[in-house]
Amino acid sequence: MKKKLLAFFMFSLIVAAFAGSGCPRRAAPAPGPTEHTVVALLPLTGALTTFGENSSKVAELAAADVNEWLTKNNKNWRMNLVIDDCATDPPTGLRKMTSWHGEGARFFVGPMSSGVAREVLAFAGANSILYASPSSTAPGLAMEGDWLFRFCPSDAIQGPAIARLIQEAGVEHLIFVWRGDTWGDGLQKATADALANTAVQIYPELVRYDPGLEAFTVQAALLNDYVGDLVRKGVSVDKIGIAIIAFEEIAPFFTAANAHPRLRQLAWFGSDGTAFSAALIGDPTASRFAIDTKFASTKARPEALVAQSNYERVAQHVYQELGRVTDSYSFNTYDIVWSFARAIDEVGYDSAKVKEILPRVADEWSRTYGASGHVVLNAAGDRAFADYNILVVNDKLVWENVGYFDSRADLIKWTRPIY
Amino acid sequence: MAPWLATGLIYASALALAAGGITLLYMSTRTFNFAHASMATIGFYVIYTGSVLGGGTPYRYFPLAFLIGGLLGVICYYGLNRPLLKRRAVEITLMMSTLGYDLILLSVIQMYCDYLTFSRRLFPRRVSMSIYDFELLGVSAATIILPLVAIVFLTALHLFLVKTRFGVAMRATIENPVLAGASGINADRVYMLAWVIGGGMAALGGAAMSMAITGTPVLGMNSIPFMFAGAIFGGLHSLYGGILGGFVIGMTEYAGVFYLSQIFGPWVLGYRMGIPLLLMAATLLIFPRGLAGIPWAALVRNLFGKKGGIRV
Repeated sequence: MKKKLLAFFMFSLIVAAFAGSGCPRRAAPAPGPTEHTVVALLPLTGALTTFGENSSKVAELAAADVNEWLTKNNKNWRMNLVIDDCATDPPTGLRKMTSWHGEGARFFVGPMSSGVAREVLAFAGANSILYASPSSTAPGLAMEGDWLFRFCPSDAIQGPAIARLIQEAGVEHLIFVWRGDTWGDGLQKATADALANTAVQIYPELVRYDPGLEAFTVQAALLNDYVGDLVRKGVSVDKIGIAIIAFEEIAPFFTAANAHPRLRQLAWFGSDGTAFSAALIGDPTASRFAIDTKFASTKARPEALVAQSNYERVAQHVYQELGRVTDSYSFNTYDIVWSFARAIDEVGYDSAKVKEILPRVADEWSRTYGASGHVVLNAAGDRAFADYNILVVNDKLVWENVGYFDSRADLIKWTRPIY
Repeated sequence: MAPWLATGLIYASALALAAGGITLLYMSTRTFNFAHASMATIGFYVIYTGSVLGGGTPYRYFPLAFLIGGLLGVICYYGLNRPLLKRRAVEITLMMSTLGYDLILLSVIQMYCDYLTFSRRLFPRRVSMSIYDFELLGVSAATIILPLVAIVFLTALHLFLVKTRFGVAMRATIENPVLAGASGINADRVYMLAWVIGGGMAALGGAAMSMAITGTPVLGMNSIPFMFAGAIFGGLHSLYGGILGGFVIGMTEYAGVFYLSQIFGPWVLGYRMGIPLLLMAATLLIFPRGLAGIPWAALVRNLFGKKGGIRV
């Protein structure tokens, strides 16, 4: 009897579900604007959490601004922004993109890491999905004709910036340590290539680590051994530097390195993956280590502000929402959402058509309103020009801009020299 | 003590606790508990929340972590495991049900992290618990306290199983549930207690693990292969084997990889996860019942020249 009742209940439930789902289809379509979905596929967990959280707040702000503009101008569509977490993990990113594509989404803001951006490249290409990353910088992803746009410059420019910084510090022997993914491999190679014809010698043992790693005592012990090896060969400690290409695992890495006093005496160099890391600032041991080693990270410098720039609005919004200074990539996120909106408004929710006009639309819109400055994309769909700010953690535990790398002149212009 | 050895010791102790919990639950209810992953993560978030909001050292909150882990175990037992056991579900069904429970717990963890991020303005998704640690005898306190916690806990568990009536009843139920039932032992209570202890060990293991590696919402998920590896390596039919297996796997991940990278170069680091699993596979090929199945006494006798032979 019990089983019969249960079966009847289940049957009724299924009938009700079908009946319910059928009703709206028979009814006349509800009046009102059409909704077009844009998915912000951001790293809300994993090694780029800070950047993901910042960009998610900025994307929400941009979508609200877009919808306000659409309403004001009596447009017949609205942007439906969906934020999803790719966990800084390539397979997760692909799974999420596949799932949203199944729901009909054709436009994605993100992913932020090059590893995830590469993972979804083939799927996006095969399904005409347009995606624009605010922060993917791997040189290997600079390809013409693909469906990926990058509102940040490729690491083909950042590599020389880090190389110049290393030379400014007077380093003669450099040890590399980096996360072994698309981005890390690309930036390490770009930096090593830029150092090829300089006086800086690269230590032959290269420490490439698993991107999923969360404890670094073994890596720190190896680095300590390598420094010891150089010292035994007569190299002065102040001529040795370590270039670390990492994301927010920088905090546990520095905590592990802190156990080796010799590593605290060297100059350490970072990149855009470590600049503005909230995890580093929030860890007293790691942040102290960063101060002691004058840990300097490069980060793409926002272009000169345009006439009606949204730069301040974006910065204030993130500060109000999260209580922290936002990173420079979040400004790109704002511009991506708006560029998509303007392009969709022009040609409709058609990714192939938007792909054709996006560089022009971004260029035109950002001349007046861009949060990250004027956006000029090159033939590969990447931001064409870039200078890099040099950021260090100061005694107040705040990321401070102490100068910038002028890519056209290939030199660093200091506002506060640190070497 | 070398920093890598200290971290290895903390990590191995944590893994021993977690792997022991997996073995206990498998022995008692035939269930490979995938929810061990999120239970471990919750253990970490208990000590993190306590340290940040309540103050003091993380060790103060270890008992609370154990209790909350135990509570999650009870919920899993009464909500999922018991009804399925009553329906004589096969092992794969029992295992998959815990995977579902794990996903629910993972969602709760993410919601809790959102709360801490947006309401408390904290940074809970990447936490180095070592910053709340203090120095003891020239090393981080975790290096001394956590192996001690593991030893004390496991000794207490051993005494409970051997010296108390309920412990003896538990062993009897695990070894022969039918006979134990016929003797008047309440198997339901025994299984429930196994889930309390197993869940508590997962949370305790996760809390201890976060003192060695970065605490994230997927701390447990990233470590679960090693927890299972430890349990299988130790032998799924011996609680002590599971604990020993967890410890060996944990130490191999640090000490083994460090030594190999010194001999062969840093490229070995890329295979950090593979090396302990390779050791497990190699051992199981020779001793299919894991560490607990190795005839240690006969091995020692042979080593010292006494005849006896080894049966695997």
